[in-house]
Amino acid sequence: MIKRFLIVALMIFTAVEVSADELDESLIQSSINPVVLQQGKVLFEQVCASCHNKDLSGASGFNLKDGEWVHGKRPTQILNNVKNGFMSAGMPGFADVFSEVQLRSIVSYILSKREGWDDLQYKLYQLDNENDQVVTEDKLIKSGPLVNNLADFAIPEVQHYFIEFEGDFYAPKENDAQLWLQWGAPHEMEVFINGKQVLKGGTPWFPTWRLKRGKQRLKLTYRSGNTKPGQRNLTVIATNLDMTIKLFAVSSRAKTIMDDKKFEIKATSDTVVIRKRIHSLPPLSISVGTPAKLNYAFNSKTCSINGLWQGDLLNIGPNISGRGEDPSLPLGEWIFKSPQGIEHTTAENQVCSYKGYQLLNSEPVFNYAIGDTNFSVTAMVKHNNKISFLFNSNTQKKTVILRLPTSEKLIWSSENGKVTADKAVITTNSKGSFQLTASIQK
Amino acid sequence: MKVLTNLLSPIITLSVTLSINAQQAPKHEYTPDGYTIVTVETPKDVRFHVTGLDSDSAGVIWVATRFGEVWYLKQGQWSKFAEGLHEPTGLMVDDDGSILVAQKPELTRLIDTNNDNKADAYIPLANDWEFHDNYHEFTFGPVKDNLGNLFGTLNLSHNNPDAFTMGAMGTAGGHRGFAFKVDEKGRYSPYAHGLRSPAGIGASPSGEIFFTDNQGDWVPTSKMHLLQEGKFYGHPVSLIEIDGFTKEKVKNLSLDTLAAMSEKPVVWIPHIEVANSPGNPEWDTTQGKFGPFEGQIFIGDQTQSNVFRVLLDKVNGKYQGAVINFMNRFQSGNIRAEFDVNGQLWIGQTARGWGAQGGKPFGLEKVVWDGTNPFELLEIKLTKTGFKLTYTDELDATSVKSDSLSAQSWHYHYSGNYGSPKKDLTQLPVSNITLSKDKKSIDIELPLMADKVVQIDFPGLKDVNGRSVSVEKVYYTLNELIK
Repeated sequence: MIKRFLIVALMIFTAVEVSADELDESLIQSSINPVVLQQGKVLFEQVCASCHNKDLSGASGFNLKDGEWVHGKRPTQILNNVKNGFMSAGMPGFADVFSEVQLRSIVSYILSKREGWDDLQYKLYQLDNENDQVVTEDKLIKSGPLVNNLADFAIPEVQHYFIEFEGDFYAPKENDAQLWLQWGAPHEMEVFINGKQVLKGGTPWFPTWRLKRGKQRLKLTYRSGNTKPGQRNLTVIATNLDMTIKLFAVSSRAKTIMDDKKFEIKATSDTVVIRKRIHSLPPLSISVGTPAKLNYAFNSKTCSINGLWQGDLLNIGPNISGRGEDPSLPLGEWIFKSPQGIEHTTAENQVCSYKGYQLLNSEPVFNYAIGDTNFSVTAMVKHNNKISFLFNSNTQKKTVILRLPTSEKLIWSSENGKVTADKAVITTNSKGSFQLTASIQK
Repeated sequence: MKVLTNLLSPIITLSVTLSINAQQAPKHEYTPDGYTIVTVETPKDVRFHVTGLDSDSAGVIWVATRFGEVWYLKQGQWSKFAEGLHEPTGLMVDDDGSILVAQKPELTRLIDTNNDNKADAYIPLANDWEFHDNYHEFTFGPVKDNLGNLFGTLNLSHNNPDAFTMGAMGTAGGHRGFAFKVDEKGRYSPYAHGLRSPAGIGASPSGEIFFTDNQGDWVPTSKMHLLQEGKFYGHPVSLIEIDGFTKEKVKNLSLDTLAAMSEKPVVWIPHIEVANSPGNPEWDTTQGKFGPFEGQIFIGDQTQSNVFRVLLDKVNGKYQGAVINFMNRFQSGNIRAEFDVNGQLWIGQTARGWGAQGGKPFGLEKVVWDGTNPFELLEIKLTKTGFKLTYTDELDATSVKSDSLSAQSWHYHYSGNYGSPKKDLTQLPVSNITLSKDKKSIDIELPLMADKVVQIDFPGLKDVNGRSVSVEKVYYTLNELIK
């Protein structure tokens, strides 16, 4: 089945003599073809991600998923740019490196990741006073395109006005999302999707409007009313539904805020220990990133290893920008996360007591006690698919039972006892130590 | 129509000016003679939001940054001591030289066990409170009393859907809105409650603990309190963790009941005019190295980018006193203050998330004194009939007259609203102004009423050299009259 898809996909790309319009259309069509996208994704991550980031959000190279296209946004223009590069800006051309089919798959993959506005236009109407609610064509004083595809609420230079932003809009395809307006209580903003008004949700100060998945026609309107002039440059951001992830900027002001929400922490030469709020992990989780690109979290409340992820450590930007409202985002793929974890089975009401960590050659050793028994745990990571947890205790030849995370990707082993899919029954050795290893399957 | 508008506009402007005049920051730069702000270079390319600040007996400056690092400045060189901390907002050099930092989830002792000048042991000293990953749940402190007990304060949450609120700020339990104590044996206990956003805590030379709290719901204007065991400081939500209270019961408490339960602040700090978000109280114990203000409290303000002084008075055995601006136009938001052994006042700064008058996002500055005796108000004490104001230099007797001074009073309305305007703002007649023999003090008489803030302006006073003060307004919190 997959093979047949591939053949169809390849056939699309074998037509050589096509017009630019036809090629645009073909690249757009392919941006919903999973086979093409898979190929594009693999190539993108191999060669493009180092400059444009794995999530296309940009690094030394431009952001490739927002509405701003410095060198042209047409699919054929993007294709030509991938082929020819911009040597002066440090981007090589890939025409001689990849086949036409491969190059087109990269472009289709980029197109599939598009988010935010496209072809955004605005219309500004001057109103008579703060109570004027009648918006008629004769009050239209300014209109035009917004080339960076962000709703710019700073355009009006009149006191009383109504402004309308309308364009195509790309929301996430696989997840639900919403528009979020910061400090929204005094503001009369309305949202229309595909011509229909969307009900306002959220809270008075932080209202939200549910988006449809994928491409839609979006219109935002705003009437200045009796708001203070200094408050009218609105911050509108697309977020996930539980508001834990701010996805992308919808207004110009939000862009500045979102740009500040990127600060990636990567373990390069040494292991990194960092305490921040982390998305999907409970409070008091301490994250540890290793240069081998396998990261774990130790929770100081439960004394458990409650997260394991492959890739780079964290984007702490959301947690250190503005007031730091948003959690840090793990940069890789979860292997397991809380409520799963490596956790001692303890008697009812028995709580662990966290004693801190010690850095030994930059590796953290976490110390804790359960009842009268003192434990320590550290990890050894040589490759991103294998991690060994080295436990130590002050009791020799004693049985320790640990609950283990279950996953098809994980194979647990220990030389010190019996390990099943979800449990390890271990006897500490003559030094009070034992080891537990997780091998991660592809 | 146009004529009417033109006629009206000056009137409208005037009335607007009058109404906002009540709460306005001084527009001029105020600097006492002899004092200068020096900007300290911070490590290059490091987000250096200084939210923890202390110095040791060798004059080394220790800093905790919001980013999560600890640095020290020794002989002009910055070195990193620790990293990976969770937004610390307090730091103290302990007696043994180890460093205590108040991270959001934990009070931590940092120890350099292998003597490589970097912390390698991160030991929890207390983590008994609950941290719910809410951005506003800061831990402030620690400071130590003379018995060796450590104290800190725990901020309420904001926008936490699981929290109990009666206004802007809330608690999801776990001692949010409490002050806590950790005794010499490391035992943690909740110490006092009713706190809101208590961003500054300090220990006086005699070991008493004071804290500041930020204006907002249930805090009509920023304030400084004496911290005492078991006391309630006005923000009601933390009462849900006190025996005998439930959420329902707390919600039904009347304003009068809550007000009667609440401790009075040592000083109210007028909003905007003096501070919006005060940091830690820091005592001048420099023995004159910082000029004439020995024993007084200096506090920075995060929003106003200024530093003000607190002039304590003790009336009927209880602290009350006054606040007066000291210096403004710092580069960023002044959240931490620390006197070093050389008598320099270091100011730690951040403006992230909560803007500051100074335009810089973060930094470190210090105030140094060149030995010039300034001409400023030194102190103010309540008398039976008015106040005694003492200045740092001899007054020109000809300037000591009634039109050199004016006074007014008001009080604040305690409620769940976000802050309070000045209530019952009243001009007070000033009479019987007398100059002391040493020409440094004046006694003034004015009608006194308890539970008021009394503002005294003295723009017309001059010293014997013809100087005017840089700050001509003092705000005295008159909780009690002399019995």
